Amino acid sequence: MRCGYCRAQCPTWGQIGWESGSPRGRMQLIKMLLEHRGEPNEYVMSRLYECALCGYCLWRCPPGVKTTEAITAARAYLTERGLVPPGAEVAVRNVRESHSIYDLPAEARTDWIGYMGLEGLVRNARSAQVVYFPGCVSSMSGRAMSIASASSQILSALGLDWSLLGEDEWCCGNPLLLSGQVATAKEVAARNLRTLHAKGAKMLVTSCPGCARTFAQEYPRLAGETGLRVMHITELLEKELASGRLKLGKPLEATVVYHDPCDLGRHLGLYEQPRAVLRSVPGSGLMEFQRNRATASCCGGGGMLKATYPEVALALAAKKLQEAQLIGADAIVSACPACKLNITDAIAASDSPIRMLDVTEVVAKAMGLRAE
Amino acid sequence: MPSYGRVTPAVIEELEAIVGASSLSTRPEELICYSRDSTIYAYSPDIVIRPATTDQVASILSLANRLRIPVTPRGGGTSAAGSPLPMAGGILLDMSGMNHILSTDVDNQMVVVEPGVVCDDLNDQLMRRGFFFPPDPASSPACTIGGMVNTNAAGNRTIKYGSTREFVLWLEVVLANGEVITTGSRTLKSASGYDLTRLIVGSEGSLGVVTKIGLKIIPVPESYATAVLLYDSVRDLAKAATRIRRVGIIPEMLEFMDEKTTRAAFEYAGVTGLPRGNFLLVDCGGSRAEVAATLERCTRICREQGPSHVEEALEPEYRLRLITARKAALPALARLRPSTIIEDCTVATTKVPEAAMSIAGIPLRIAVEGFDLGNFGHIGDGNMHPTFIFDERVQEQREAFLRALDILYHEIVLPLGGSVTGEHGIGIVRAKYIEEEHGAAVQVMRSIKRLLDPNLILNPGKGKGGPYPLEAS
Repeated sequence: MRCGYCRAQCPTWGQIGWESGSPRGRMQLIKMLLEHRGEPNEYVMSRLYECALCGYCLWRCPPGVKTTEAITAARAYLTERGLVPPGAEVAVRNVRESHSIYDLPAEARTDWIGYMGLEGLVRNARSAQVVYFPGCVSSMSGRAMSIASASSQILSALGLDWSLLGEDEWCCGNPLLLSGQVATAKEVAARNLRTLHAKGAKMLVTSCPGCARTFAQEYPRLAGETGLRVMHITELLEKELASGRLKLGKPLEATVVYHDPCDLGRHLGLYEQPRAVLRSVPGSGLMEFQRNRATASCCGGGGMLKATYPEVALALAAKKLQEAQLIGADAIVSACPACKLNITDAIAASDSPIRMLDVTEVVAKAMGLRAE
Repeated sequence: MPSYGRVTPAVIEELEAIVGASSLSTRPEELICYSRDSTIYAYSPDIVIRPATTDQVASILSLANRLRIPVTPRGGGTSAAGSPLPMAGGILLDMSGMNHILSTDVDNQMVVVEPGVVCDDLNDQLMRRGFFFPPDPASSPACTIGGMVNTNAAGNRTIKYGSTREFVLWLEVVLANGEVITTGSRTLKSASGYDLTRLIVGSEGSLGVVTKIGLKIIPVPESYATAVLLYDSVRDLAKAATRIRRVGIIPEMLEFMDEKTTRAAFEYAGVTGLPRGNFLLVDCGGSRAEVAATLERCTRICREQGPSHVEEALEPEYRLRLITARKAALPALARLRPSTIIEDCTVATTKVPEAAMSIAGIPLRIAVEGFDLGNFGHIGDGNMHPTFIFDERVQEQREAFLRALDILYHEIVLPLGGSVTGEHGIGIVRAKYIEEEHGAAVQVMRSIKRLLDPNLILNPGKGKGGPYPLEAS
């Protein structure tokens, strides 16, 4: 339709300003390539990678243009022609060679257990019904390890028969899909599923919405039926709260504003579960951003933006921080390690006293567990 | 077309000196992105400039006028008429960078904005203070106030509040020669001087580039109540709407959708449990004490025309769902075919049944497979949006669309004494019908155009200021 309804709330268009930086403009660029009316070049590449793939346009588009699919397919097209931003190239190479987005050995995947003092609690069992899949960021980024720590303590406190994959965990493959590397993503998916099946896992719980979405929505497409129930940890927590098995007694004593991660919200449709959990924490004083749920604005943590155009990613997080300050929140709470990483960076770059927390950290504290 | 100057490297250098190199682009990829709006037309500029200040706009126009380079302003690019498409190339001014709300004065019911402010963003800010800017085109999440001023945009609430024109108090305008003027007065009422504000409003960028807008704002109604009625025929629906107005009730909204559009919209918006039919939405606003009674009066009047179903919504959430269903008309139709072109015409309210029946018959007359239409709109003021759905990539269907336009305007709307546009503007799409609608007045329009833009550089080739194509000067 070229109606432009997607444009005004596109987070990256708000930073870039040019029509080519809007979803409508990106679709015009893709059409230009398909119809051979223009050459693939670095300018086109930059516009297609300056997209956080937040899915706002996908949600907003009246005729339902599959914008995010078109952009990832276009990224694959450009990659075949040697047009990849250096940050994406590095991330993809890392996933191919080191099986994580970081250039770190497999052993580094479990370093967080020692750093967080959780030896004895966290295990890589031979078999388990439930596998906790922290994902690359929660297990290997110092700014997000507290999410893996909180999640694993919560799972143990709930008495679940759970295990990690430990050093056998590979990246879920999401960064490959975000760059249109479907063939390699298929190999990664097949391999991860073999590892999970070998453990006898029936349920995969993750604190990363990107991993949750990849396992739930992409893996069936990449590798067939997974035989797994995939849950983001907030879904599990909400169920445990509703059944009475989860008790949150210790008050938070802070007003928090909840930021909807794009992968959890728009892509997976999970808006109310994290909120139900947060409302159950005494003293949490849950506030909302003006734009929330399906209209929530991206923090810039997704779409490989932090790897490819970190300055744009940081600018979006700074905007989020500014909004939280205007609302008067003590802390921003999200349910995504990428959001936590990016907004934490924005806080560090400012003099804001606002804290950045994950839902798992809030819950762990409310359960009297070690939260940070 | 007149003979125009070109955007040469020397011109680009001068423009860079005005706005800075990072605020302009001649990249072919960028120009392609600016070559479209929601019509089927495509025209690329030679350069896109994103000015940040009135002074920059003035300097750009001064240069362009001196060198006879065309200048086309563009807001959100949500036009359904081709208005922001640069038919003669030249300079395209992307005004979306001038997007500040400059001042809000609720005591005096005024707000001052730059043209790039998005309509919904303005209302988000105003509603926190209990006020709003009533014109609400369906494109309000994306359209800019500047664009709304330039097309005299309207929307669902026009029946009660009027269109954008009724809310523009004053404008800062850069004329074709770069001179900056301010029209109107910073008061809610003025009878001083010629009403240049009203001349500029709706001029589609053909008489000047708007750089500041002083708007009137009003308090948000305390309460709302809504009813939806379904009728077997548009004739009965239109009679019901006419009767409401005749007894002096002015609802917030009086909207309709034909049966085909209703079916698509209900499916799109997830509205279930309502039978098929032609949809009439009556929305009343005011004090809590009065809305229920007003709605009851409206529904009593509407029932006299024998609706098949009446659904009342006094609760805010259900009301929003029903209004969302109406607003889903265009997106719902857009999912049925690859191309969706919304048209815009008005007739006297009593002529709506005849017009609607004739419009419904257009696809049968055209008889091209894949070409269809749905109709919906603001029946309270006789403004309909026949929406053609087809595949513009298929030549036969593209031609069918152009034939359908002729049938719609030449054979239906204008013979009924109607107007070829209620709120979208003339642009490219309706330029050829201007003379037929306005007759000798077109010469006066052309005189005004030539007075203010003697070199015909502002948004050339469009219907405003005279039908396309413009004769050579």
